[in-house]
Amino acid sequence: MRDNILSTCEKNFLLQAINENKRLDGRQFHECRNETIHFGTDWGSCLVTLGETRVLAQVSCDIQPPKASKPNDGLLYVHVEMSPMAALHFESGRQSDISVQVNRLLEKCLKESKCVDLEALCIVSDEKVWNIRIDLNVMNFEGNLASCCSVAALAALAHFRHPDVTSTGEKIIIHPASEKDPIPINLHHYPVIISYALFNNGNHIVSDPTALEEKVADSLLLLSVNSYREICGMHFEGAPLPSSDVVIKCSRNAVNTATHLVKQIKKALSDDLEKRSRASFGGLSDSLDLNHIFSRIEENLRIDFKRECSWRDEPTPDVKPDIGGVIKMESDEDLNLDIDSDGISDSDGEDSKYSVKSVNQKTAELISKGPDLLDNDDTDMSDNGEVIEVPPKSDAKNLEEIELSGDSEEEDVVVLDSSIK
Amino acid sequence: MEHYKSVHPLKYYQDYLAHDIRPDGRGLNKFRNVAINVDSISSANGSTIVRIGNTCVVCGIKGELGPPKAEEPQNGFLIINVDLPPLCSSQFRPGPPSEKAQALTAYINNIAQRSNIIDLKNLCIEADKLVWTVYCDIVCLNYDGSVVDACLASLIGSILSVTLPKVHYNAETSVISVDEDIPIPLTVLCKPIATSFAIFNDDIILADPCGEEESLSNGTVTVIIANDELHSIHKPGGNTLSEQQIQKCTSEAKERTILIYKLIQAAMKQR
Amino acid sequence: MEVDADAEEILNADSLKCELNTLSRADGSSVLCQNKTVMAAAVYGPVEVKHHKMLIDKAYIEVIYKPKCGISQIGDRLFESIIGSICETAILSSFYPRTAIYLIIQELQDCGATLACSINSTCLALIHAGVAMNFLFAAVTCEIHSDQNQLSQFQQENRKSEITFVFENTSDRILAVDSYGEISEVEYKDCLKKCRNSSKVIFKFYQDMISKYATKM
Repeated sequence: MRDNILSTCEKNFLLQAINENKRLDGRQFHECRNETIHFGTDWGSCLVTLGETRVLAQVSCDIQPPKASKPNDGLLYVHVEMSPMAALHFESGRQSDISVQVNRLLEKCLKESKCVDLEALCIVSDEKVWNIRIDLNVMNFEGNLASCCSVAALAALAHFRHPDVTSTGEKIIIHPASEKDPIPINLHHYPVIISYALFNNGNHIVSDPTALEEKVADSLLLLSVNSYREICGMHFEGAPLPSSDVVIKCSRNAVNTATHLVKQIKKALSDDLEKRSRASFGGLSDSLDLNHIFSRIEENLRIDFKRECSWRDEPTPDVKPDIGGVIKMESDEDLNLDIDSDGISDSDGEDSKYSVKSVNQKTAELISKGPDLLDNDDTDMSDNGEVIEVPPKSDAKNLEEIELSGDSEEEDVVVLDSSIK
Repeated sequence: MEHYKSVHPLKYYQDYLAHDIRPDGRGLNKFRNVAINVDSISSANGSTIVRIGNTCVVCGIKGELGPPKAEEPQNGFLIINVDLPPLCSSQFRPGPPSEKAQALTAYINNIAQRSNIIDLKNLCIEADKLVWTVYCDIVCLNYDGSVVDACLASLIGSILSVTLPKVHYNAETSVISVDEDIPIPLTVLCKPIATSFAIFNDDIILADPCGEEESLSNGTVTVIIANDELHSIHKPGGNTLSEQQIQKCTSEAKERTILIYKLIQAAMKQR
Repeated sequence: MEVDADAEEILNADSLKCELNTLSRADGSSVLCQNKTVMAAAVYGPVEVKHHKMLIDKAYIEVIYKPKCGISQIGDRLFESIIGSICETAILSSFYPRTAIYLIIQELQDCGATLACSINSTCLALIHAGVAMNFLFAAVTCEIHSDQNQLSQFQQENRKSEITFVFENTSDRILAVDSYGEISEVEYKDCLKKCRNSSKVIFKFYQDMISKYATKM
């Protein structure tokens, strides 16, 4: 699937609106869409929406050997995944241009701005460090993905807690959450990406562009700004700018937006901490908007999950682990598995339709006895008008003969083949 | 006849099934012949070839020594991989594992884990330092239906036949010494055996379907039995079945599992 | 649809929450919370299909399951194959020849019974997308604990075994089953009964959900 092609009239319509100082969704040029931040029950799980753009972030950790060049630093890995859920033209499991770009921008924003205290993530120098992985799943793509992802990644990082570890010389002990409280990651500062779309040589600057505005714009400017009003990353793409005023103008605006966003993240974090202590805390299940026509809630459902009383008396079959390689389902005597000279052994009396036959070294076969069905059906077939070919009877005879005859391996191969064709 | 089959494969089958017989001469609930050969590959620590009709699967087990995961220092690893190479059927292409192979690998790994075939703690030599990683590679040589049955039977056969050498680990010098003369078998806690069925037109259930039957059917059911108890039923969609029909599959699978146990034992006895 | 009146004893205060139309791009989308497990599903289709995947007599159905952390693995393939074959039976795919229907499921929060929750959210997304279906389907997971005298849906800890049933709304027959761990015959029958009862609750939920928005549209 390809992305929808942008039609000229759609493009002209948008440009004309921009020239008249209007945006298609009715926002002011400097206005951002509303953001919502929700945290899950797991540490480091966060759902962020920016208008219709929706991103799920999950931070996870494991222990790995560090890089040889930085033996005292933990590892940080960012991965942006765009599935067809976001928009149909993204392929699952394959990186698209935009996901590579956003991935790189986030690395610049979080890794290279040194906002994460990686040294604190070291367990044993040169041997074991925490590897922190941020997975960003884009659920809906409606423009300004970088900004939405950066908020999600930062909020998830700030929310995440890794298990406590004690190192006793040689050994390390990882404490589960029940023993020791998990530890949050140290963040030096909070950088977020703010993006702008520029039209008409930078005369019209639009903040938080939608997917359509991003497509039509002459150029895009993305700035990483932290809550201390510092710029820690910048990306520009598209048509060249005639003057640098635009960048300065944007960065002035960006610091305000960034402070606002970081404030929102911190507020969401403290709200979450408070909600967590309550019994009714449902994590992301609280993120649903239950007030609109497309939503519904049923609580205290009368689902009966009580065991029937008879279970209690049911003796649980004790499974004895048997040692060694031999199956001890039944003892050998019960099995009555005596292998006679022909190598045929009848396991259970006449009822059994199958017989176990030991062929030669290390090989055994399970053969169905007498193809009784074929004989009976002969008459039925001829009565019927349908054209049905009855498999030649010789096959069946063949099977019987060989089953009783010698035990060389080659012949047995014939047995199998003939009984199937 | 051949033309009829190629033009209307489904009708061809239905004509046969109307007479309670299948084109290969079997009755509806008849299983194909099974052959098992243990210790087939001398270079592996344990191996088994299983043949169910034309379906042929080989499983080889290799043990490797390595450090455990830091999170679970007591546990070794049991890694099962199912490969469906292009040679087993024209429906598979060369390259990375097909979705079918991945789903099958995941299913068999789930069974191994949840049914607890072996205790991973038994694979530990020295906690946090050295454990066994047991690689079970299951390769399908001929894909002709009921592959899960063959895969699981070959896995159980190989795990029962596997022997790992005795390993000494010196904690102070961290020297590993392997004693090949003392073979130690694995402790097998559970031996799940799979039996597959195919659903045809709502009401007809075919035991042990061949490849053609599987592709023409409206869904399959796999029942896994160990120690005469149900360990898994896997029916991914397909036509709906009634409670009784599933019950019938389970009881048939129970009978067959005993036969397969006897078969594996007969093969093991002659080593 | 009548919910079985026998289900009198209220043991777990289970809740079902759902929101449709959460994603602007997809043709149908849903977020479903069963207790604390949250799954999102999106449906695109019928849409244009790639040439090599085109089927001349029916729609090509593809299911993608996205875990929330790490890249998708073989376990997710198993989920995809189960959900895929359920949908192939449920969707009237011969209505849409030479097209594709894409189903994408995103895990949002895992507190047990993920398979059941993702199957149910898929069904809701299909309803929202207006895809023609043979029947609706609902999945229920039942966990058996060795030390307790009770079954549960979302406990996860110390479970001996678990079984997931998928039912359809036109008959009492079973559409799909997936189970792991040892289950005795008595336990199996009990689970089936319990799951069938609770599937009726879910079908009722679907019905209420649709009638809420369909009457006003």
